Amino acid sequence: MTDDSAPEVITGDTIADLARLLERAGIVLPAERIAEVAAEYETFQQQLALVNDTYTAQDEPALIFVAGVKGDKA
Amino acid sequence: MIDPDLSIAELGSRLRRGETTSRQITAAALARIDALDGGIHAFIRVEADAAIVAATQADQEISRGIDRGPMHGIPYALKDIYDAAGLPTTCHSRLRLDHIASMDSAVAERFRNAGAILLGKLATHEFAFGGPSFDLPFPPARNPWNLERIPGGSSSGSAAAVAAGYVRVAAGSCTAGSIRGPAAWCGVVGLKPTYGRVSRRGVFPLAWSLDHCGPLARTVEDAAIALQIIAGHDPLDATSVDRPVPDFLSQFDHGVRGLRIGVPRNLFENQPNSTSDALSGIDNTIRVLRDAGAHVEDIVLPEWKLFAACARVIMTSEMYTLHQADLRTRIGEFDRMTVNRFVLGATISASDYINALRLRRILTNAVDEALAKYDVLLTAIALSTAPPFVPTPNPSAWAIQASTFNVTGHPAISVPVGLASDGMPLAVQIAGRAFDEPTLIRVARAIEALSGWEEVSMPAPNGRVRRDRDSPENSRAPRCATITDHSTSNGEHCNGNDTRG
Repeated sequence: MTDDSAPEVITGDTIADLARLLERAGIVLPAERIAEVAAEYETFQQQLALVNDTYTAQDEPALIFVAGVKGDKA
Repeated sequence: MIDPDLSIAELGSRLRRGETTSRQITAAALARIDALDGGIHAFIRVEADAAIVAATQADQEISRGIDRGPMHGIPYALKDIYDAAGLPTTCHSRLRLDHIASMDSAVAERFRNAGAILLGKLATHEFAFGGPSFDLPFPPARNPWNLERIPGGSSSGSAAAVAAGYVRVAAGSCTAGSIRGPAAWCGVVGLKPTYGRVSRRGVFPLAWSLDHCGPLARTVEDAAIALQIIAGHDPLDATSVDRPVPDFLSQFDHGVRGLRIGVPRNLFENQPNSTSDALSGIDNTIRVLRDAGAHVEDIVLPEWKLFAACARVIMTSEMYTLHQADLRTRIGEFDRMTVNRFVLGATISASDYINALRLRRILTNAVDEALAKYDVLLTAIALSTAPPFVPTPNPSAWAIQASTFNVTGHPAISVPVGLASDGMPLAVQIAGRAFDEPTLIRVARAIEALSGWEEVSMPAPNGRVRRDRDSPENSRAPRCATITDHSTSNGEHCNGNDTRG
């Protein structure tokens, strides 16, 4: 896959957020490794937002079972 | 000595005429692996003795008039996520070193029943995902065109083995481009069939709703022959589709006259990591297709970043689900790069995943609508040539645009079209309607023939190099693909002046 770009500055909030989610999942990583993952995490968050925003912006729940309706708006 | 340039069909003809034997073909392949793979590392396990036994059996059968089809007596190899009874399936990971397959995967079973000769298991990225790492039980495969370059992945060993001339065909798997990407970077053909066309039974999954099995092969014809063997319904794979398997070579030489080809230029133009060589390769291909009578038009599909994001969210969710227990208890046994990519799955919510699945339907509808107007789509597969090995690779940033058709499930093929200014292969991607692989193969064959690629010398680790025929897209390219010293991997193996013939 191609990512548009990786953010250059990873904030402490991003690292803290990632650390919290990993801890909740029972995954133990040292702090320096969490910081290493954080760059990709931030890019991934942008992709998650794109997926959610794209769908949410076009969604009409009453039409969810109508094949083809969404394709016209993509 | 068996010429590695002989196609499966040519080898089969010689076998049936008694001009060679499977044992000779297999021994030549094993000798080539023995001589060259110390530098390429395509194989992580070679089953030499078993291969010779199987080849001897094939010869006996052929001499008795038993014909199992076009790959009877022909060597092939499996990416090491495919089970083959009695052999380890390591997934190139420490976590799987002691796993021995109790039975064949569906693909291995079909190749075995077709009389093909399994040479061994091929390198991959850890669990078909991590990246080219030197911190794994086996070294990463290298690109036979230039050992300093990566072959792509995750079917890295499959692409390298075909490009190096060990086998005409190798089984690969593809979740977000792992067949077509390495095929493009290694100058071979990579065919991802329609989702459901080939059984995944006995293949270690990465992301089950995106995973496809398919061949990497030296030529389009070889790929079609291999697909003919492995395609078909498997009631033991819930996603296998029960529908007739067509003759994949039925339109092989029909050309492209009158075909309608859509080019979703918005997917690959103005991308940050695209190169002029890659874009020229596409434009040259469009030109030769038009000259051959195809109607080629630009079309617009949803933005590439939507396909990429959709694929990544689905893939990350599913692979994390598969590996989460080991990530909790054995995280130190994974490669660092694998961990960095797997753990992102812990950050996804259920609604993220569901919205990705809903977006997937939008994107699939859009591709279906385009294919209602066009017979096939022509687009990019690699926006650059194979990059060099670096200490901390980021496969997420590789300039591969393949996940489009993993998301939608449409069949797609990568076919080489020439050499770039750095002497490395260029390729284009063709996608077709669901279960219409014959049209895909028809167009890919036309491109293979029209592009001049058939005259380009493959990497020749034994020093034997053919002189290229001038063709529009490689007339400015260096003509060398020679690995003169496979025991060392320092320095460029190809320079602009090396045109030995």
